[in-house]
Amino acid sequence: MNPLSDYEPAAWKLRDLELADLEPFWPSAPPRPREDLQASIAELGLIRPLWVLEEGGRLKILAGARRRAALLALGRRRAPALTAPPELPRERLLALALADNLQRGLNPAETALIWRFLQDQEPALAPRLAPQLGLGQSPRLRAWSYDAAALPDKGLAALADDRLDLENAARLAGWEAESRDKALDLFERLRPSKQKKREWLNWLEDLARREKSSPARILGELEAEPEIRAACEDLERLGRSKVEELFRRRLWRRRHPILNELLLRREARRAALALPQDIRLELDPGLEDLEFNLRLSFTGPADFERQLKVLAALAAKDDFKRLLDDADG
Amino acid sequence: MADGAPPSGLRLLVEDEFLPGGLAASLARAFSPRPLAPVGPADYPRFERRDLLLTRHRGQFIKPCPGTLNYNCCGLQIFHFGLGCTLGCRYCILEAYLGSRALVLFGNIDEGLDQLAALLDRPPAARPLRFGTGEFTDSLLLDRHSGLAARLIKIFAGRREAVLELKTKTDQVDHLLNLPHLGRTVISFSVNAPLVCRSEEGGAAPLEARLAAARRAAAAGFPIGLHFDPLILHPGWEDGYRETLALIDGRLKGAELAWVSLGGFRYLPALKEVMLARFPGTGIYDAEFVVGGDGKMRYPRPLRTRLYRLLVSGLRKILPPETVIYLCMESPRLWRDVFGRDPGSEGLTAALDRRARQLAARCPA
Repeated sequence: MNPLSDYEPAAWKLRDLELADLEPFWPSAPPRPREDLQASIAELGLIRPLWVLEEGGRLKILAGARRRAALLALGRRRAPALTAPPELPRERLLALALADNLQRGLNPAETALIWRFLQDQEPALAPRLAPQLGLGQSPRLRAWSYDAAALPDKGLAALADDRLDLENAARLAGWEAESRDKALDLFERLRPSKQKKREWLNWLEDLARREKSSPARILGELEAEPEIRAACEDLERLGRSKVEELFRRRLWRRRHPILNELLLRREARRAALALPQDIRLELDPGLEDLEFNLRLSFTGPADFERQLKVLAALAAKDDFKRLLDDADG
Repeated sequence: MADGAPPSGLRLLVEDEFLPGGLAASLARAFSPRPLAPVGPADYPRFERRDLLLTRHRGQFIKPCPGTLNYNCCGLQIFHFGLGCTLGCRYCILEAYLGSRALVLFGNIDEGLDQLAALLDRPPAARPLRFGTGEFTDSLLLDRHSGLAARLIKIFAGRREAVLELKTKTDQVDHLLNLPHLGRTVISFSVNAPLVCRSEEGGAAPLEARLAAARRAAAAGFPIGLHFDPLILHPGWEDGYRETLALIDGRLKGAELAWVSLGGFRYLPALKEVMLARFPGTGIYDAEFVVGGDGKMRYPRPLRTRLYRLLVSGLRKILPPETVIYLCMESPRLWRDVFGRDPGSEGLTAALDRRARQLAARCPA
């Protein structure tokens, strides 16, 4: 059965209802009044009535929560509303309400909230309604949406505005409140990419386990470092990407102290070779050293010959051999 | 106490065509079979950890070890009889590879055994010499119930220049000890530092029990293999691995040690999330890793070198010189750092094949 094709509008009753009596059916952050919606209602009136469900003696808005908010902002107290017939099957009711809400497009936070609501309240129907929410095919997307819906308003607002992606939102939703809030604040301040957010969350979780600490504490300690604190205070002048990179390096170093030491030692050895700028020895940052690469930039045969002499001398240097052969890094 | 045996609550689900006899009949002595509509690998994820599926295998039964890009491979051939494991090791690569939590055995294993026998009937120069079964599951986890190892041991005992390796983390060997194996089956044990065995290897048999089983197998004339894989950096790892070496020295003195492999912990990136969700208390993913040349996460090379050097120098002190000590899935660079030379995959395969020939030639058929 297609729940939409069997829609019988005649069965819905049009009533004039007190806006203050209406409660939300779908969970959401309180809808913010939209200026354009208010302007439209002020000029043209309410084009479509609200959709309402009477449940347990209470009136719940299936579709029209934003319009209700706009009406209230305009000082209206009552509005026309279509009340769903009590005999309407639950699946059809939900499908209709979803379809109406989807007309305006749901942001990821709203999708997440609705999906969690359906999973919790209507577990038998949720899988059948998932395609309407764009969650039909991907169990992972459904899981992320479900988890992300547990974020507090600050996180949901970031998710709604695409400042936070669904995967990282879901992950943060599982963190304890203080750590989650600190991470959200950091993301707001530095605006790292989705990939970097994932990387930072990985490192913070690893560190918290290893140090038997919490991400909040680790973030607090990093932010208290004088260089990071100064950079954050001077964010405008330095630019966000520079501060972001500084923070990333500090976090990486704390997560990888041994690698950091190995790489610093290797970098010092490379520097000691004092190669000219046009001969570049490229070293594997992962230290696997399956191969080494040497990049030459030269202007002509004479320049090339000069470089060959440098390379011949390089091959005989103990420092160079040590750099390539040292089993300890 | 854990002995590496499968949990008793396994639910045996058998595809209709395998219900009357064969492997199903053997398993039915331990588990009550229930019918199962035919399934394929795509269906495996819908089953649970307590499920043991007996299904038709539609792929190849014999295939080379998948190896890994840019790292030396030992050239072992895999006889593929099933998938999955109930031991619950915190590093198990199968969790990321298989997408299945259930145990799977192949009901049409007779086809595989026939193919194996036919392959082994070829002249040794025209086929591989070493075959193993422990790549996608533990070789002996269900063997007391399935009886598969006995059939394999018989096949190898009757062939020249062919060696079977059964690799396990259990101590379930006693049902094999009286079989006429002619030295052509190596029973191998995965070993580790005592702390790793205790804390990261779930329901596997304790290290002492594994070594006791190795001792019984050695006393029954089986060559023994040891696999230090994965070597795991953990607090006190040097002392931990020395302790294991001392235990090996004490328990396996005089045993015929075929080979010992060493492999540092490495994992597909996707494994970490799966394992931390299942075993949040494990600390093995908190170490420092780099992305290897095969896309797997590995300890930084200098740390692996330290691990391998400690083990190699310790093993050389306690093992007879004919025992082959080798690195599993390691880079030419690591081989040079640890052994001073890189045999390449071909050289490593040749060294292990020579060892297999020595073992197979000990007892004339």
